[in-house]
Amino acid sequence: MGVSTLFLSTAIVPFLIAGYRGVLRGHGQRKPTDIPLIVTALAWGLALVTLAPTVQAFESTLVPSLGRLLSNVCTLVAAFGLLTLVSHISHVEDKVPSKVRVRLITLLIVVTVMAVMFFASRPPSGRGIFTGLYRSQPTLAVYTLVYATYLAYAVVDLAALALRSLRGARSWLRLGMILIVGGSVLYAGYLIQKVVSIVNELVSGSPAEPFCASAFATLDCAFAIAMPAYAVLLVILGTTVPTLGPWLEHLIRGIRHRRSLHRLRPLWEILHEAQPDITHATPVRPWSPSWPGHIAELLYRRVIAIRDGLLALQPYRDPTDTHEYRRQAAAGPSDRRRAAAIEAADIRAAVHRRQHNMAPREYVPGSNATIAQDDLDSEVRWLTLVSDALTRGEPPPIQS
Amino acid sequence: MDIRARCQQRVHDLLSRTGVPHPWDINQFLDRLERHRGRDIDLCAVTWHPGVSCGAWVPRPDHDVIAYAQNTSGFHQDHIILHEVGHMIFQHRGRCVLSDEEAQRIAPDLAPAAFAHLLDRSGVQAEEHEAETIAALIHQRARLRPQLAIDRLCPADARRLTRVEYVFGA
Repeated sequence: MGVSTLFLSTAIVPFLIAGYRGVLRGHGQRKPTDIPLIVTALAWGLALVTLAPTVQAFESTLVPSLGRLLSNVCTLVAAFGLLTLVSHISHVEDKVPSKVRVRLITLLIVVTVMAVMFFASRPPSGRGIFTGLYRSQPTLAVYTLVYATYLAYAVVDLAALALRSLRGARSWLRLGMILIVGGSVLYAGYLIQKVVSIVNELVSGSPAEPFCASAFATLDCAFAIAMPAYAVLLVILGTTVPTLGPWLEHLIRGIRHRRSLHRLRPLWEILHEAQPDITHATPVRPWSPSWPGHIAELLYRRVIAIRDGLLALQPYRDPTDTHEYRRQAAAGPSDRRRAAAIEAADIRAAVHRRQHNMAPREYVPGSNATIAQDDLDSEVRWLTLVSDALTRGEPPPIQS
Repeated sequence: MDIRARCQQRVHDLLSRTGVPHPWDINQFLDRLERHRGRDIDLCAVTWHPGVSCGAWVPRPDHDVIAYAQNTSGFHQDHIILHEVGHMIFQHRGRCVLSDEEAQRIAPDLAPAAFAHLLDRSGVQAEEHEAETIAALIHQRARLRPQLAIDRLCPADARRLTRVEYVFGA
């Protein structure tokens, strides 16, 4: 994979995430940690864009290796954003501003030192690769080591927090912490390789960084180019998955609920026609502005309305109405679909009795043995089977 | 404030104190409610008959009685009980909807006078709407799996994990 393609395509993810966080902040409850999360995502996106070789070629026409400086500064701003988040988690609320202030001052000092070292050197034009220059220009070595130290501090702090949070976190939050730990490990590998190679060059004079035509051209290229790009991807996804995951889950559940609501309609309609008073359980206007939430509410209300209707219909149920069908069904294989067909036949007969005001021969309160559904999902599964059987009209043929 | 907003606020306040048992269990939830309110709640399973309501709340001087229809699904039973809990936490003062004869049939152990403020699940009044909304909100909250399992953690870890959830979560 080309280096520019890797960096520019990876940059899309943090930009999208920054936009997503911005939209959430605009529509939802505002948190003091929204800004650090947005700044981190934006800074990482910019770091990747300014480091892409095609963009660096343009930046170097302004100042040689300017892209390297801009990218490194953006990465440190992202690291500062992460350290701010860690401060919000590790310290009580009233101590956070002072901790953030100290970290901001440290960032400013680090960036100033890096800028001084950069402009005190003669970096190459084109791509900002300092290979072979560390020994002749120690200022570039100081520049890179200061950068690596601050970044390493942020990565270790974040990884430690994510590791400690793995215990007790569930589902999406746990996945997010795992991604952050994974990204931190990749970042650590990249930084260790960078520091070792610089020290090696300073001591022995052998080139520290290779020129890489692609991200995976050599093992060194994978360490120098692919690892930081994937590290950014993993960490930024790790900070987003705990928010985005439940939302996606909610959306998929909403689509499923909408389908169930549609399938339950025939059952609800036949009960509503026989007993219009069960409608009080269905809200007239939407409850929730969010679509999936609204559908979930409607589905819940519809299930309760159906259950109210079935309870009110019990006096009109008479097993003798569907005796012949039950006898045939008993001879065939027993499954839930057939049981639902029997229930549908019972309901049809009871509605007929109710509409014609025909009392059963003897009222026997219904048993809940065959209708013991303890949660909404199992209720929906059972009632949609009954509703489907009503839609089909005729009971399914009995197989002997 | 409209009915839904008012109910959401009540449910939020209540559940932040009682929590929600996971997995959901109506008896465990009522135990927590009893501890929170300092009043016992007796559940009375009744077989529903035509002409009577499928649930009722009877406030007694030292405890509350909730009657619910047992000849329906477990999910529906939970909803009926939570509906009565809705009346209870709003302290609704509805009309008596049952005759003495019907009251005796539902709960033979109680004197008919105990039904002075009995509330049922029929009707379309604002109080019914509130109780129905409370039941739906609590029941739906019960379906949410918590992101955190902080019960197993020491207080310091639990506090940190709650802050992690606040920072990175929705």
